[in-house]
Amino acid sequence: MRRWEEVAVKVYDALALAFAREGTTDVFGMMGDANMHWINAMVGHGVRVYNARHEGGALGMADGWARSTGQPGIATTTCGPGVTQLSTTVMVARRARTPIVAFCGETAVGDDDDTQFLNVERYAAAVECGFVRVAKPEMAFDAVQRAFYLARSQSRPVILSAPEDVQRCEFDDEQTYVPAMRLIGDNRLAPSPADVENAVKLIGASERVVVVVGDGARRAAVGDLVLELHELTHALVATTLRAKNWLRQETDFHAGISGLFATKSAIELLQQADCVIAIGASMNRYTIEHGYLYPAAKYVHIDVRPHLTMGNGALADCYIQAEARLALVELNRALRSRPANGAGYHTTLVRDSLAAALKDPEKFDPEPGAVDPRDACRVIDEELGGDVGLVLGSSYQSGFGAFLLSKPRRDVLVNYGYFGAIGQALILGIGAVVGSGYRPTVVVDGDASFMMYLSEFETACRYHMPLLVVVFNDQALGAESHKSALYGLDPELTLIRTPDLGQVAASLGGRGALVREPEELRAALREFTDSPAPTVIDLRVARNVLSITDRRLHFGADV
Amino acid sequence: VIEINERLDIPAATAHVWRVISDPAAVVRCVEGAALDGPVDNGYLPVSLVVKFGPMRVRFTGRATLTLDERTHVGELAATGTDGQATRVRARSSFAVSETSPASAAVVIAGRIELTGKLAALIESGAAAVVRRMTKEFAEALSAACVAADGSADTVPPSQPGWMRRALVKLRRMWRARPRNVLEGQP
Repeated sequence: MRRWEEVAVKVYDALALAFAREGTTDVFGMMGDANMHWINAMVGHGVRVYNARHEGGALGMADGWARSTGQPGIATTTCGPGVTQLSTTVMVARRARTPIVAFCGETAVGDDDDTQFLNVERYAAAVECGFVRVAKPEMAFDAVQRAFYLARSQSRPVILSAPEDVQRCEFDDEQTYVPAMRLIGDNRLAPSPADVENAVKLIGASERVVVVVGDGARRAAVGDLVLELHELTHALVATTLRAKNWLRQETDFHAGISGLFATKSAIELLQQADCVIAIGASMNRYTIEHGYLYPAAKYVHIDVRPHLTMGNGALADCYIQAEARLALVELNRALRSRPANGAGYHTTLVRDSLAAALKDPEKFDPEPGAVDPRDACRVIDEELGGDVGLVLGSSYQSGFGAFLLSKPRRDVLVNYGYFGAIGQALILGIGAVVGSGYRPTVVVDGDASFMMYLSEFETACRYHMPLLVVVFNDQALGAESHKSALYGLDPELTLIRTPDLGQVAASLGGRGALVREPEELRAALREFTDSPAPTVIDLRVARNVLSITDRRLHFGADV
Repeated sequence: VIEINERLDIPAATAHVWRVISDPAAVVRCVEGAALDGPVDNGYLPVSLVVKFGPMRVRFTGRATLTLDERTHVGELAATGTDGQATRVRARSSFAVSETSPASAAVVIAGRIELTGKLAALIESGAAAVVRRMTKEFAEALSAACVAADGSADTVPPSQPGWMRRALVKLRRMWRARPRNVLEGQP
């Protein structure tokens, strides 16, 4: 490592030092003229740099890394065209509220005629990013600190734009870097006693309580308190899509996902709620189905953020701005002295109804040589242990997984609904593998989505990642195929054949298999669990199997 | 906007069919999830309707008007309602009963249902499927009710609450007494 006091310190050195002081351990990016000095300096600080094949892919990896670790992810690009490649993935990260700092090079200050010139500030605004420029050499530390402060405090991606000429200037090495966390501090927000009292009154007047837990609750590790709360109130537990399957194994009264991916039994039960206690969940329109999922319920909402407007446009009847653990400790303490109103949801009937909820009785005749995607989900759950992380994409076929993959897993990353962009699951999965310390991870995605960042599978191979991609391959744009039939359009126009993706994976340096039967899938999954390595299973799935959500949305089916 | 265009062939005499279809309580009984919520209020019927969009129940409350032309056996039903979650539904349909034989009649229904607000985005094209299903169920129930009709004009099922029975009888008499070119001038 370069000794700070021995050589003339450049701004890129100072910038790298500041990133290291922020705790950066992994960077995802592509090298170019405008970030190569910084990358070299980062490596000098012992930071691992993962070379991606596309800047957008790199940012998606940083997104997956951040969602896995809870810390800001770091991506890097060169100037101009390197930056604009970020567009879709940075929007996804923004909508997922992922803290990311993207170190982006910039052409020399004032040289607007440079062929790679980009007005980065305007670009950042367009993609809903925070923006900080290293405007002067002496501002290097301030700029990094501000970028991390914005990323952490606002939970969003921030572009740190560093002009090439500024990067190569000398830096005053008398400065001391203060990490952004010291500005933010770790003060724990306690609930106000009046809010807790209001919540207790509201809950005490209710008979059917649902506790909806989101990613905020999962990250706060308050599972023990949530379970106590559900016992005290005889409540159902439901999760947001993002917290899918969390606590599922801990109670018989787990209703699964609150929202479109809820089972029929769960929806019928949730609609009877007269009180919803939301913990670390934004309660957006998808979680509460615009309010229709809980038409008669009062809401108690616990979150660290200032008062949130829910997806029905309303404010909670009782909002407790507090850290989840502190709020639940106080709430449970107050509720212990008040018996619940009757059995609530904790009855044999409810338990039996929920236990049978995931069975989909609808019969389809899959095309020859294709697997029913519902069977595939069952086999995946049976074969992959709970220690294998799960990353779900947002393709049509991933919807089967969002609905049916119910095995509790240590790590679950769901990307459904963030900007509605396909193509993200593989790159998020790569980041999640790195963030989890190389724990085996399965990505479940559709064929069109996987093909979009196919080149990044080679990145997974190059870094020997224990990453399995199960491509639910219907050789079509799945959602559009079904909608075309519905709208009287030509479904043939949605067909896009793929080659054998197992062979493609092998060519890129990994392993692969083409699978047309459930038992072939089982064998391929076992090969991965026996020896985790970069693997693609090209699972040919039946195109004519309609998802439950499609049957509801397009045919009004009571399923 | 969801369009309804249905023709129902009912094995019952035209008079019986008209009697059922001009009886709000009887019509409401033919719609699963529908209920009259109170007496006639200034010419309007307070109504509610619980609709299942997939497994999710949505309850609309609103008011309806029924206008009838006794001479031509033509009528119009108009209704508006909300679901308490910022979705509004407006429905308007006309219907005509005609004799196809001394023992059978045809009911031709043409209507439009307009759904605006959050629910419209939530249920996408499924709404049309739900309306089709409900129309089919309505046709079956109406057909059965017409066949079972006994020809007693003012008979109201004893299961109706007293105030509702009185209101319906009053409403029916009011309709008979007023000008019947009711497709014009009604809200």
